[in-house]
Amino acid sequence: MLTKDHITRLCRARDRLRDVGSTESSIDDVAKAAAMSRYHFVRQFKAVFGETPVGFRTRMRLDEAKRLLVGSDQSITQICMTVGFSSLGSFSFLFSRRFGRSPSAYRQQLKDSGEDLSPGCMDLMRGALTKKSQISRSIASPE
Amino acid sequence: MRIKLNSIMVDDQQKALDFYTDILGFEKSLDIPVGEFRWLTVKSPEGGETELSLEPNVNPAGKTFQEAMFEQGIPFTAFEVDDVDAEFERLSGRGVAFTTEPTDAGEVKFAILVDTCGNLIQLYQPKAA
Repeated sequence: MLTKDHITRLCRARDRLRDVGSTESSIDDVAKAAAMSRYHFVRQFKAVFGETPVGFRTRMRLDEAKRLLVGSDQSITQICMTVGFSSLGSFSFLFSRRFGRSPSAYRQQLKDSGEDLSPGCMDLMRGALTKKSQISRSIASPE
Repeated sequence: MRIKLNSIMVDDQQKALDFYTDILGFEKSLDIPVGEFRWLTVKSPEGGETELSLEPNVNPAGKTFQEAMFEQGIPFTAFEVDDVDAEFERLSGRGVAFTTEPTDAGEVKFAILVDTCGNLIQLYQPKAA
């Protein structure tokens, strides 16, 4: 059974793993700060957050990269290094796998479309319903 | 006026869909791409009209609220079950973490699980009248 103390320590560890870039702590250091062995830490982290600490950190790096692609003028290479990737190839591969577009295509498309980075419930529903009606119309009257 | 839709914030929609369907046992209902996100809902195979929307918690205000509730140990969402002891056994066997084992609380018996997406979920079993 997870205790409140376990939850608190795991949340603090998650907060540390969010800190991507040059000040990153190693997984061993984060486990140590959470007062757990690395094995126990990885196991408990996955049970609570559904992904390994390394997987979580990679997701945080990609999310931060996404923000920088839209909100800064840094080059793709600079962003890759800023969020803690050492290889542009792996950054581009992981970014494309997660967001379905390369970093440069993502930057261009979002700037062109003005898409919202943080859609709310109603934005998603409206978008989904619009898309659904477009699909229905194209089925009803194919061009 | 009817209640047919409720929402829960999740930190990753695909991870949430996997957990809510493969582990908990709900069924996917709507899955419509909206930009890089999805309008994604699940429903119970046991009937009822209400759907649960798995919302991305990318809004910082929502994320702050969700994390505070989680760290304080408060389940913001609850699902009714027929037998909370049986669900506890079934889900524990599938690797689900619980913060509270089945506990009598007057009119209901409840347990609290971690949904791996940033939420605590209460399962409650109303006591027979």
